[in-house]
Amino acid sequence: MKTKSSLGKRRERAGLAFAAPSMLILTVFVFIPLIVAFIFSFFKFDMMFNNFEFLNFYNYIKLFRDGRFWGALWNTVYYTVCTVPLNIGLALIAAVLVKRQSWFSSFCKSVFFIPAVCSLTVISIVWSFLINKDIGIFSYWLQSLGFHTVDLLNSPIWAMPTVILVGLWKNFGFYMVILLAGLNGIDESYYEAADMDGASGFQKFWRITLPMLMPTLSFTIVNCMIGSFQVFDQVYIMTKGGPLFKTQTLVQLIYNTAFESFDMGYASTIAVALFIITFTVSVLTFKHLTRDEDSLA
Amino acid sequence: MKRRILSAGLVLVLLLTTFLSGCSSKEEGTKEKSEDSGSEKTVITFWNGFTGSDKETLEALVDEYNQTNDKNIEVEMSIMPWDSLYQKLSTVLSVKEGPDMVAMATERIGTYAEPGAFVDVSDAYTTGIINESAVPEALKENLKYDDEYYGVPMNFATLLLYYNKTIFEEAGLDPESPPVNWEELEQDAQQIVDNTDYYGFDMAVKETTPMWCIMLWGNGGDIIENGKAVFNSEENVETITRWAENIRDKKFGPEVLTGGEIDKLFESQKLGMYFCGPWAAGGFENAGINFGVVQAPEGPAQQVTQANAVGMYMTSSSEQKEAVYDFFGWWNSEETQIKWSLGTGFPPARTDLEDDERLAENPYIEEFSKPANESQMYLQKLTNFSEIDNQVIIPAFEKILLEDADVKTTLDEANKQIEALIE
Repeated sequence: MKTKSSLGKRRERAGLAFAAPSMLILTVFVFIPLIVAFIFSFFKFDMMFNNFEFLNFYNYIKLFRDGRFWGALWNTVYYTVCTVPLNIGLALIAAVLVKRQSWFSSFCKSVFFIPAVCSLTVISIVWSFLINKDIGIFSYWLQSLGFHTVDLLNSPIWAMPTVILVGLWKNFGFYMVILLAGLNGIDESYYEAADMDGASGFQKFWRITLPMLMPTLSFTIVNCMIGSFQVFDQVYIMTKGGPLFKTQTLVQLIYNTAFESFDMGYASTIAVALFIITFTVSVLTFKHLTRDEDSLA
Repeated sequence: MKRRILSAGLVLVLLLTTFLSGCSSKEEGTKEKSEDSGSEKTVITFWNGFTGSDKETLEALVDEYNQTNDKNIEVEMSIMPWDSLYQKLSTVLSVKEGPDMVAMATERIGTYAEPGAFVDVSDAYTTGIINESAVPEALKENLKYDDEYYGVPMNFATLLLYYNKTIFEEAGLDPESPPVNWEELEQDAQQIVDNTDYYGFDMAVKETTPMWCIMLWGNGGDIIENGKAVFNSEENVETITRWAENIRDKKFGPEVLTGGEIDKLFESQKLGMYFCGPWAAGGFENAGINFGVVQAPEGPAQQVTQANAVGMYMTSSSEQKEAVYDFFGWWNSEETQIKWSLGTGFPPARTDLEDDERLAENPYIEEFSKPANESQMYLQKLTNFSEIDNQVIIPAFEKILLEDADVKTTLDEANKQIEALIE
């Protein structure tokens, strides 16, 4: 009995030792900044971190009355609501299609995955050039076919859908690979049993694949959602939040407030708001999805 | 067991020291023993955003300074995009880890001088390191904050009208008589649009050196005058209505362009005329474009253009004032300014070199130097320049050009926002 408990303790310690490095990184780069941002959100101070002025809840009141914040929140929600279903849907379809073992599937897998390993900055610049109304190759082709082209990134209506599509092109391959791993983890015997019972392809997908894939799916959905809430690079490169703030997302607003207006206090307030929103939505989604998983299984 | 805990602890300590050393590597302002002479070598760091065609000339000049200065000073220069520069600066200056010197556009002085991130360098002028009488008039006032000099000249440029001679010919215009006033500019642009597949004339709205202000000033308007917002003046409403109609309705060019996009449009020979500075001339020449440059067309009120300047500043992180001043003086010497001018096409940042024969080698320098004393600079002496420009003025132009918004209402609204921001 005694040996068992000391073994348990040893394992516990070993576990802690293994977790320590990442805990240290998390503490230095996530927890401490989080706490500091929260403290900053109650102050006003200048670029040199001088002249600290305690503002109480002033920044939070300002936030609720700030049209730019609500605009950015709306844009972020718009981006997320479009991106998550499109990304996961496309990734799931692609994963199911390329699951078979053939040279063509392997080829497709690589092709879909390549954008995911490319730098988002490079991709954003390349796409901006490709779709440019005057010098872009896509516009050139469309125009030679007689189509009228639009200056997508400078159009208040089309700028956001364009940014969303570029993000989709870049990211769905990554989620496809994760879902593929999930799919490969489902035991073939379930399908064999279903075949013997005469289940249709759709029934197999709905009754076996989807429930068995739920843990992976929940992970990808939550992951994709957090990523969407924090979208920045591609917006920053492609539109700088314009035209007319139509693509200004929350992180972009935080960036502008911090590095253009040098109002670190208010920028921290927006960051805290973003954290609360992302955290709440992620927890709710994850709970909801895993509950579904329980009921389906 | 103990050994395991010990080794885990060691790993932790190792990681921690790596982090901390990574966080606190101080690169600047160090003195090190020079290998050959054994005397103290002073290293000063210099950040700037000259990533364009002027980069090579700048690097060559800094190399030359490092090799020839007699005080054993070494300038360690980092060139990065302006965006990254501003972002990095704001994080390092507050912890006194910034570079010794930094270069940036003069309209940003207030932003950094006010919180004490840049230091007063008036004594560089009083001690004669910088010859005050040779600094261009338009630049002099704008190197100051609160009546004290916070910067010294790095470069000075004016915008001229670039026009594509090939497109002029194709449109049936005389390539040797470019437009000299607004009416001619409108006629020529219209003729290009009517007779060819190209755009006639355009002005970039965002991420650019300001172009629309040339029109505002040409008609006697301004954005901020004597500390008051005057963006919604009658003159401005008239100017913006006229040129928005030209660009948007008469299709002189795409409505909203960035500086990069408009350069590309001219470089790919799809745009007949636009305003740009001396930095573009070399690139267009290399691209084999047959173009000319001419003074900005005269407006109803006056002939004027936009001047812009990059200043050099000493940051509060620096403890190497002597070395920094030495570089300031060397950079603004006649010799260096002529080399910089010849290498980049920028007019020299001093007015006493206009007739220097050596400058005749580059035909553009003379043309770009001409308006040195009649030009105006955009939105200077503010502490929140980029906020006013990016959050108010640019969106106002976008609203008018993209959404056909009423000019008067849009400018009234923008004027109120500017008033609130300059309070």
